[in-house]
Amino acid sequence: MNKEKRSFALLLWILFLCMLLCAFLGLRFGSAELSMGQVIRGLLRNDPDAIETKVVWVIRLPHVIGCILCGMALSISGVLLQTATNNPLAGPNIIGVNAGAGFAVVLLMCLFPMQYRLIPLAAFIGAFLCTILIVTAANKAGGARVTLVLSGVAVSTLLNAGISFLKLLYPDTSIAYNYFSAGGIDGVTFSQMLVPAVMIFITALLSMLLANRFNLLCLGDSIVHCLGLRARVLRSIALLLASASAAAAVSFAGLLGFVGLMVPHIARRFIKGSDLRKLLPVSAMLGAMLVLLADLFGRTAFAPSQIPAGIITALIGVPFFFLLLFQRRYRL
Amino acid sequence: MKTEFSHICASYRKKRVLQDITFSLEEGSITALIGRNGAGKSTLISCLTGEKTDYDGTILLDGRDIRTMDVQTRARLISCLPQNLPKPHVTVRELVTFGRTPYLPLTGKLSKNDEIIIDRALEVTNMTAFADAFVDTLSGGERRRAFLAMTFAQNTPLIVLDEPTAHLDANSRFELMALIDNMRKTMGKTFLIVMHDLPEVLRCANQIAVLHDKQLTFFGNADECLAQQIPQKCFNVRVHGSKEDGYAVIPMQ
Repeated sequence: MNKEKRSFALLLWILFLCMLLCAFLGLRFGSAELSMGQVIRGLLRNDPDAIETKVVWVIRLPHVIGCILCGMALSISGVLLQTATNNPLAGPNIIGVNAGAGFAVVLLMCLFPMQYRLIPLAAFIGAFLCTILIVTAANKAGGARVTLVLSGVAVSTLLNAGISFLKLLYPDTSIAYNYFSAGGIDGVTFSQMLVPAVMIFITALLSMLLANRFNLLCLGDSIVHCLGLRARVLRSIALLLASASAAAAVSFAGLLGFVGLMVPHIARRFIKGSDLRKLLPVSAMLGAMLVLLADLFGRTAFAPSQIPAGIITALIGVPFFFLLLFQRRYRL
Repeated sequence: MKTEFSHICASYRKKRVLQDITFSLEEGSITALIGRNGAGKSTLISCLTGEKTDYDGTILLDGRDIRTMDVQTRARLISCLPQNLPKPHVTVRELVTFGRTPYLPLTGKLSKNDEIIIDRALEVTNMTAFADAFVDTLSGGERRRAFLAMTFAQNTPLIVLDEPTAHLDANSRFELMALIDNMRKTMGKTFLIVMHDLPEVLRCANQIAVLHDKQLTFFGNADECLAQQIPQKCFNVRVHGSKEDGYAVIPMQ
């Protein structure tokens, strides 16, 4: 193993241990503070009826795993989107994930107000269908990167208008939508996360498998073609994987903003270059850490009030967004 | 590898730009493709690289129609560099490694042979010292050399370059053309180069193909080109000088 590979492996191990530490903090702190011993006893299920076992297994562990999955999924989505569009300011909202999921949730609440259990499914379908619509429209219009961004803006604007329209017609839907749009992992269960977790795992695996090909997208369509690949197909695959990953996260965590935008840029500080084979795993672990810490801060900083993680990530994300805009020397 | 363009007719945005173009490239030669703006040079290149498929006629590589080849096979026979190069945030070595894409498995694992070819491409283009530098930090000339190294790493018998000396200073232009000529001599590569600078064309090209009024008005070497007064007829300029002393272009009144 050469020096570069060794240092990258070391970086992955350090990030993994940091992620475990953040997860442990997430298990320990909350409205009921547990000692380290109680967390470990709870995890080991020494006494199934003990309060710490119930707190850890019923509330905290699903919560922490939800944060990890959500952070990983949104970060992977962000990396793929920024690569596919060659736009450092791209995030899941650019392919209509937020607008699609939000519209589907409001529509569900209008048509079937009692079926709130179907919100995750509706969010996933809405987000994914919206991306397919945007990618298809962009491909029909020539498939250029700028066409994709413009299609995304157009479809998202239309769906956001649809959300406002439905909320005016059915004011009762506002509460469900507001809670969904704030983004957070409260009350999530293992069973709710099972399907999204499988989807996130599959998209992560496929993204890693195709990372070497996605790397070429930075060369532009013409050169990619001369290297024997079809840029438009490659870009569409990257976008669909990004959408599936973000939609899976949105389905149980709501519209958690700015993670997909911020994390890939932070990850680029840790690695040399933009090789997706390195950027994807580093981003995934940093994303998990960011959501874990945002969630922990939201649960403990204003206790007993709990602030959804989405609000915390937005509070960090907006200044970060401006930093990116002003920092011209930093490139994708 | 013999490359033959046979009766090519093609349109750009529904306007016919190429009419019955027939010529062939000699193996191990530099052919300059010249013509006024909008003469159809880029369209012809697009037909050759497979980006454009809606044309009449045939382009044969060693007797095989390129339209019947899959993209990967074609990428092992023809490499191409467009005029406008991007500024990716990758190291020069990573960029040159991209050139091996047609030969690599999905995982992108490099073989020993791939490594040797990449090192050689860096060496030939004098980019070994820049191997760890980021492409987006290089000067225009260095960046073009880095992309040329990527093209050489693709290791194809035919290399197509669209205005490789555009936006380069005089010294960089000489260096780049000398590098291309060296590649031709030492590795037997065939080059088809879109060019605009007439003195450079006359000095560097073994064959010159002139597109004018949708047709191939001339195909031959520099001496024949001057003897037939092609610069006057097609570009409205006069050319003075010789291969040894260099050429000067003077606009006709």
